[in-house]
Order: sequence, then structure tokens, then C-alpha cells
Amino acid sequence: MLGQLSPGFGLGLRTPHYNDFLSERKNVDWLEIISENYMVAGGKPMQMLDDIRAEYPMAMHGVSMSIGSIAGPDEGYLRDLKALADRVEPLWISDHLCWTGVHGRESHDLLPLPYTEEALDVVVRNVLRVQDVLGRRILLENVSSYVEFSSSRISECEFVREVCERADCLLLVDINNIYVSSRNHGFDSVAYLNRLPACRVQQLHLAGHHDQGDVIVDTHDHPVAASVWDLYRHACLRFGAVATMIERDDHIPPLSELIAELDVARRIADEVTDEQSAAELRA
Amino acid sequence: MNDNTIDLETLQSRFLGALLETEASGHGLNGHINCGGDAQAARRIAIYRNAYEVRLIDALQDTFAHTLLYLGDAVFEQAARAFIAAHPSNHGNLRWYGSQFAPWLTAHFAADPDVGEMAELDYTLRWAFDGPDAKPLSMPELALIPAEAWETICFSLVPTAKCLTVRMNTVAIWHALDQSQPPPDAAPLSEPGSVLIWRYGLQPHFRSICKMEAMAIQFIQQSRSFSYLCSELEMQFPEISVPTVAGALLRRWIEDELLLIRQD
Repeated sequence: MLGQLSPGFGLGLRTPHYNDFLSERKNVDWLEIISENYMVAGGKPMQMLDDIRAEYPMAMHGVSMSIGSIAGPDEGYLRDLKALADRVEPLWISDHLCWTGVHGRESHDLLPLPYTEEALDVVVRNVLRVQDVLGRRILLENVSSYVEFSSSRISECEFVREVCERADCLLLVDINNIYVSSRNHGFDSVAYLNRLPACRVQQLHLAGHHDQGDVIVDTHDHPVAASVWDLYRHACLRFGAVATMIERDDHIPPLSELIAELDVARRIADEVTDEQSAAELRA
Repeated sequence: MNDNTIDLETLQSRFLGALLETEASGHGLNGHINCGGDAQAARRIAIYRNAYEVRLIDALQDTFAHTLLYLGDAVFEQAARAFIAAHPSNHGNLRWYGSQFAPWLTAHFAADPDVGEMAELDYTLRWAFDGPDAKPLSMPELALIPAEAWETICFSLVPTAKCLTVRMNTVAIWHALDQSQPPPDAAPLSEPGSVLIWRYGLQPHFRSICKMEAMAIQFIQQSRSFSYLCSELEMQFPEISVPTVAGALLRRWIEDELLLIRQD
């Protein structure tokens, strides 16, 4: 295990739930913030951040580092990220294994990379630079995708493995994203999970998607799907106790609903632990 | 360069080009995507293109909430799509998209200046929402200013404070929309008015200000001393008692959490 011990089960901090988290302690072990939402000068976002941070451990999750861009992450962005990290003192800092823009134009999306030697070199170079600036290992998250590039020479999970090894970074494994991409591209999601380096997995993401039949769109606006819970069970078997959280970015329900959904994750993780303990006893 | 040797920068450039296009075809990615043929690839790319537009429209709707109410969903979305097509995003943080939307709406709805004014008001309120913090001057702190300092003292406004000029009854329209009431018909004001916008506590606020207060605010923004401000008001508004009025303005600004002592 290269990362930290699991802090337990968390949720993404979203503005409709600010008052819920401030009014009384919730059965949520930690919170994940979207870093960019707090890269503002001041006002309510920063006040809420400080107040809620005083009550809950937090992880920082970014969406615009663009680790797969030729030009690399923007210097000003990294400076702001470091300043935010100094303020939040997060459990860890994560972003996505993707690119978001090129030549000064931004997509605001997590765009897939071709899995080539050149892309690998670019990502590793960029991760090393980011880790140098931040003074810590970062976590990279696998993204969901709708296209694969014909120039790819290795599979996505081999690419993820190579990035982790060469850049010595950690992993945020998004279970829903693996499921979405496996359906969109026809690969085996369990085999993908099995190939990931367990010692580098620091966090798991769970989220909902929209199944359009021939393609699944990663919308984060639904509860976690049954097939994703199945894959999560396998992840628990494979990775053991890993920090797990649920992301909801649209059609955000009352906090109690998300906490109930988080309890499903707790139950599955407990069941897997119990099964493993029983198996060890039998052995 | 054949399909197998396309470099990362070219691929990313073409991919982003495909996202920013309004048509699904001709994106320069044919043969570079494994999705069961170019037609299927175009369909998959359309998912990304749609997400790009939806995200930017959502961002504009969020920032320009009253403009959205005023124009209605369909007209706003049509305007937003035209703006997005003309203004690709160039900042990594979606928060900053739309800084040119109000001027663009002003030009686009040139015959309806109330639309541009509404958007400017929305944008300035959003800016005040998460603009820089400052510790405003309090009444007890004001009382501690020594008498001899009043000759030279300069005040400044909290960093979220801005003044807008309005020529239409935009403020009345804004308030009606805010209270889910039918807005009055747009009409020009008898003379241009000023609106002061700032953050009070954690919430953005605004209020219309009279000509005299607007002038006083302008002097403060120009880093003029308080004694200069008073003498100018005396010249411009000989009918008023400047000590009384200036004292009332100071008290109001302090109660509104607007004022700082300028530190040069």
C-alpha cells in the first residue's frame, strides 16, 4: 500500500447540502470538493469551505488540470491549486487521466487520450511536474469515454498501469467509468479491475449513468446502477478497504438520499470483508 | 501523415475542432476513431459536442439567472448558442465563462438596451458573490479616527463594489422578476441612473443611488480624500448641508459594509 489508510465513506460536497453539513454531524466520514469551485477570491464559497472543513476531512478533486495536454497543466492553475491545498490541507489531491483543452481552447470535458508511447511520455512528464509543485503524490482517475483512437497501441488499463509506475502516482478508480467505457468499447470490466495495481488505489468513485442502449453516457444524475454495484463488490474483493465516495452532479437529491446510497456501499464493503474473514478462518 | 502516426497535438487539435464545429461532419478525424465506422464515430463525437454546449449554456444560465427569466428559456438558449459559437471557452474554470456575454447581448439586442443592462447587472452580482473578501470599517473604528486625520483621510470601497449606469427601468424589471411578478414594460428613465453593487455579508446586493451619492462614490473610487469629496459636493450641490449629508453617507456606507480606510 503506497497511499494512506482509508478514511471510510464520503460524498461530494455540493452547494445544496451546505446547510445540511453545517447543521449537524452526518454519517459521512469525509467529503470531496471540486477544487475549481473554490478557486475564487472569497465570499460564500470560501466561507462555507472553511466552516465545513472544520467539521470534515476533505479530499480535493480537480476537473481542469489537463494532465494529458502537450503544453501541460497551466502554471497559474497549479499555483492556485497549491494555495487551495495549503488552505484545505486535504487528504489527497486528484484529477483525471485525460486532457481538457489545447491551444488555449477549453472543452470543460474529460477527453480521452490515445494510448500511445507519446501520450504516455506527455502524461508522465506532466504528473512529475505537478507532483513536484504540490510536493505530494497525486491521484489520477480513469475517465469514461465514448471513442477510442485507432492510434492506441495498448489498452486503457495497461496505460493506467504504466502511468502509475513511471510517474509514481496513485489511483482514483471510478467504478462507474470502467463500467461505462467497458460497455461503450466492449472490454471486460472485471479484467480491467484485476489489472490495476492494487497498492496504488487510494480512492474509489461511484456514480450513476444514462444507458441509451448502444451507448452509455456518464451523466452523474442517477443513483448508482445495479451493474456498477456488482463491479464495486468485485473492487472491494480486489482492493480491500479503500476510501469510497458517491458523486452526484446533476438532479442532486436531498442529502439523506445520498447518505442512504452511501450506506449501500458500506454494506457491500462490510459483506465482502465478512466473506473474506470467513474464508480465511476456513482456510 | 497517415492514420497510424498522427501525433498527440494534431489529434487533440482536430478533436477539439470537432467539438467546436456546429456540424457533425468534416471533423478531420475519419479513420482515427475505432467505433464501427465513421458514421458511428461522428455520433459518438456528437455526445462530446452536445456536452460542451450544454455545459456552457448551463454556466450562462447560472450566471445570468434574471436575464434568463426576462428573455425566457427559448430566446435565452438561442442567444447563448450563438454566443458560444462565436466565443469558444478559453479559461479552464467554467466559472469565468461569459464575461463577454453582457456586452454581446447589448449588441445583439441593440433595440432593447434593457436586455444588456439586465445581463450586466446579473454578471456584476455574480462577480460580487465570490469576489475578494475585505474587513469593512465599523462605526467604532470610525470613531477612533483622530480629528486631525480628517483633513487628509481617504476611504475606499470594498473590492466587490461596482457602479453601473442604467438608462432603462432595468432595476424595476429585475425586482419584479425576482419576486416572480410580471415585469413592467421596458421604458427609458427620464435621466440615466446609477446602481451600486457589492457583497453584504455573504450575499450580493444592489441599490439605486442618487446623483449626489453616485458622485461621492466616484470620488472615492478615484482615491480622492474625504475633504476633497466634501468640498466638491458643496460646489456641485450648494443647496445641501454638506456636513450633514456627508455624515449620513458615511454612516450608510458603514452600515452597508461598503467602506474601508485607504492604506497607501
